[in-house]
Amino acid sequence: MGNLGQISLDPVLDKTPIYPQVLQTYKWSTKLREHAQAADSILNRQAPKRTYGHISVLSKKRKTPPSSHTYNPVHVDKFFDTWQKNYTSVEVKRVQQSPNVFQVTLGRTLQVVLVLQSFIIERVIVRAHHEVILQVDGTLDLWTQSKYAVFRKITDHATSAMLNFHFMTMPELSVKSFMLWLNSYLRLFTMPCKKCGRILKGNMPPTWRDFVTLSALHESCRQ
Amino acid sequence: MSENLAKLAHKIDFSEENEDKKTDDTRNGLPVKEREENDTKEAAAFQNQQKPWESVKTKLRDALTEVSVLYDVINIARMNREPPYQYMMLEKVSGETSSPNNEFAVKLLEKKKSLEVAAKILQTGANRMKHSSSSEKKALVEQRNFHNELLCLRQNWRLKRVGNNILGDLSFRTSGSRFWHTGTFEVTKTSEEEFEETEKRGVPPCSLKVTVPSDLEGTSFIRVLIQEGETEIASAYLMQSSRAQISLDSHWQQRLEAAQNVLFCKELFAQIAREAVQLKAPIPHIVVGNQIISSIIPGVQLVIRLCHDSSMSSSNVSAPPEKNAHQNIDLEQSLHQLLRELHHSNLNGPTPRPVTASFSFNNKKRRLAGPLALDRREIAEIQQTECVLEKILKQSRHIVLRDRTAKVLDDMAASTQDPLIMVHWSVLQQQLQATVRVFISSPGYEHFARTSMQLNIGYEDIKAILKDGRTVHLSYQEKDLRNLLTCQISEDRVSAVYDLAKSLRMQIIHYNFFVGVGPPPKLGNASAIVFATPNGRKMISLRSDPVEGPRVMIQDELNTREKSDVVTDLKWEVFPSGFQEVDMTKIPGRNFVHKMELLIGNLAHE
Amino acid sequence: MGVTCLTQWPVADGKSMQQTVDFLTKKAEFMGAVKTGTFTVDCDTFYAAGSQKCINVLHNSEYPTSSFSITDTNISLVSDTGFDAILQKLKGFYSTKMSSRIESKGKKYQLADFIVKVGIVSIGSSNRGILVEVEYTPCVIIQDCWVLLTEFMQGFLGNVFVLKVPSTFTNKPDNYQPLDTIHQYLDQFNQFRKQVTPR
Repeated sequence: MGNLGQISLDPVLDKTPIYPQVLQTYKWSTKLREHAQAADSILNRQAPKRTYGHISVLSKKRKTPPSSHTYNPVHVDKFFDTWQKNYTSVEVKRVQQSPNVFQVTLGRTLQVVLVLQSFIIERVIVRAHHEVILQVDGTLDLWTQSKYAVFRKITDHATSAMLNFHFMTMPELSVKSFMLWLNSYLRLFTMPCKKCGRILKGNMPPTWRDFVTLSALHESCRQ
Repeated sequence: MSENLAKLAHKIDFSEENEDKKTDDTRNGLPVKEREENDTKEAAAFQNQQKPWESVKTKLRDALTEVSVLYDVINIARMNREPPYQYMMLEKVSGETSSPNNEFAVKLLEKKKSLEVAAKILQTGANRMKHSSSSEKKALVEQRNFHNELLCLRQNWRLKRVGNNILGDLSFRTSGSRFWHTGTFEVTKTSEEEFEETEKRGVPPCSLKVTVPSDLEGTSFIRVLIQEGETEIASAYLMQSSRAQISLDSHWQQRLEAAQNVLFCKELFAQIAREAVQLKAPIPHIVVGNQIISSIIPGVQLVIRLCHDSSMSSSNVSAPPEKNAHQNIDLEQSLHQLLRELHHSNLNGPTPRPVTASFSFNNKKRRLAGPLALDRREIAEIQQTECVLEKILKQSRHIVLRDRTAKVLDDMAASTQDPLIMVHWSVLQQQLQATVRVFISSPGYEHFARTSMQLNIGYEDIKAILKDGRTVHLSYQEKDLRNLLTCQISEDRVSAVYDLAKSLRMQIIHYNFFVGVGPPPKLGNASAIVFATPNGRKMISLRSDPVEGPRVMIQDELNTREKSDVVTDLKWEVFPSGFQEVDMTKIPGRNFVHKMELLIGNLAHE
Repeated sequence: MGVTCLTQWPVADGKSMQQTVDFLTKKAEFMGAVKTGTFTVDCDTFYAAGSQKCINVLHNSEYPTSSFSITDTNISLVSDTGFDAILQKLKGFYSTKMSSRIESKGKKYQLADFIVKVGIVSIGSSNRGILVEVEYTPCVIIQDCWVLLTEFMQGFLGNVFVLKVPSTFTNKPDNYQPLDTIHQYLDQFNQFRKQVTPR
């Protein structure tokens, strides 16, 4: 107890119980600290992750910065090659080097122009299989919407899918899930809606693919 | 007698006589043998006796011809007619018997004479030059400079000589322009007075003077303004950078460039004015003098103004228009490009195939439209063209929409602290389209509950695509976007609490985006969630209204029931009491989700 | 060019052709279709002098710059409209009869991605029947959207409707071409020609 021990020698001890109180406070605080440490170690194992990044007071060295922006084109090419091998009805072709623009052809149903910014999907445009993606002077046409209402709607759905499958820490997973979702459109015109059983509703085939179950639904049957 | 005469005649040898004569005159030194042969020949002829006078006749005739020729020659040579009618001249026969000494002397004299003549010519020329240089030194230098300058001028501009003048061409005719202005300028030499004057003014002298047509003098630029009421939203200037001042003293290159710029601006403005008059718009475009006013959006105007400063005085230093913060480089570049495209299409078109066909179907695709069976829409697409003004209008509309969106997003991001709004503008942007991604999330809880949406800004309207698949079309009014964002914020709150409750293993009883009960919200829809603690004793309800904000209510338990022996089940001991509202301001916490977490933690503690 | 199917709509007894057409167009408008114009498909037949061979030359107002020519041996050609002028020059070899000109004229409606055309078929001045053409523009693969088209036709024309796949289409691997529409029209026109009694 150090200097505080000197108080115990005070003859006036019986009147003022400072020393035992101090002692008790000390014991209480050390016990509290031990309990807190134990609780922290237990809780940390089960804590729901609320945010990205690690708040650690002790470690001074910085963690590696997020690497979702530093993918090089070789990675992207490799990813799409493996994808093409697994799913034979899909054809992926790189159109432009930078930013990464890929043309994904899904059977003979539709084609998708994917614009990636180092493995994060930036924009998606869905057009019919027979529509051209090159403008008159040969440059890539990234902006004009499809002529057909069906594909315009699917473009909107694809944009929301892109927003939905956006995982900041795992960009590869986001692209993978997006491609899986896109793959379900292979039989766009022949798959009936799961809810109403018909193909046409409001003069449209089922354009919505559920994000989790990948089942075909009409947009109005969705809710 | 006759017999005698005949004999004597036979004896007369005329040929011998003639021969003698001839040999005396012309034939010197004829060998004796020939003479003898001639004699024998004539003796034979003489002895023939068939035509005794034939030889005589021929000889006489020959002599006559020769004498008459000689007579003619002398007559002609003696004819004193003026040259060039003098056909013949008598020339002296050169003497062959002159001595060599005399020859040299004569030659020397001749050379000396000719050299003297040449020397005289050179000397007169040199004298002339000496005289001229001493008095007009500058004129000579100027002469040389004039040609140098002319050479430089020819390297940059097209010049041609018409009579005694040198004319140049400023216009864009060779690149396809069909403007009515000829754009010719005249090149002259500066006179001495002007030279001295310019020297006096301290300007470096130039021996070349360029006269530019009077209506192309000065500088001009086209100013494109987007105005909302009186305030300026964006502006662009169509001019080149070195337009500080143009005066009569400026170098000819600068003056010509300025004049060409003036011509370009004039042509562009004329083209746009023509289109403005021809186009039919719901609110018609107004063309007044040098201004074209058209309204893009009700309340926002596009003003295209041609500003021409035709003063050429050097004292008036007109400062270039200040660069505004709102300067729009896209507009400027597209104005240049649009006019250039127009010129290009006027002049260069693909050659029709076969070459004798008409010019109308120039596109290869159009020619193949028959065999390819293109339908009407595709053919119309090939032949569709937009005029310059339409393109400018579209672009300016897009700029206005984009700026408004940016302003609204910035405002809202600055004003709302509780869920944070993060805005990412896409790198890829085009003249008529832009993309924005908006994320709404609570700081500290980004792992779950993030609402995101993508805004596609076109030139007509804005399309918002939400994460759950809904698409909303927004008009150009700012209020629409603001309302949408407010509704999204309230929805985000509820979905954040939903995720939080799920992760804390609460039981979700009710979760709805469009609640039909309760007071109707003034804007949009109210969303609500009701969940209970794991042991089922306490319930929390959250109703989020876009305008009013969130309202949290807790249902507590009442433990007033007396214990009885009949009903022993624990669940009958506690009855839920009514809901009571929680005052969120009094709860500690960084933001709403944090407060909810603390609340839940507190309530779930049992 | 999307997949197109073409059917004949029988005219009910007691109703005139115009009334039936009006009935169909009203139904289309009720479903939400928008009138986008008119269309004409016509067919001229050129007979070779001496033999029985003939060339059918068809024009479709949807493809204004093209002429489609099909011989009776099913050889087909898609060409520019200049081909008609060439045939005119060959009058000595290929002659046409004015009475053999058959055409389908009517209004065109657009409903989302569907294009519906209802036309009255006439030879000369006599009306022979009604042809309904439905095109689903986004898809060019026949097998994929035949069911879709059947559903649409059932919704439009009633449940009695059964769509037959034309025999030329069963094994077609390529994309759908405008020429296939013309083949269908030619088949239908030939059927109309065989009908002896004009209605």
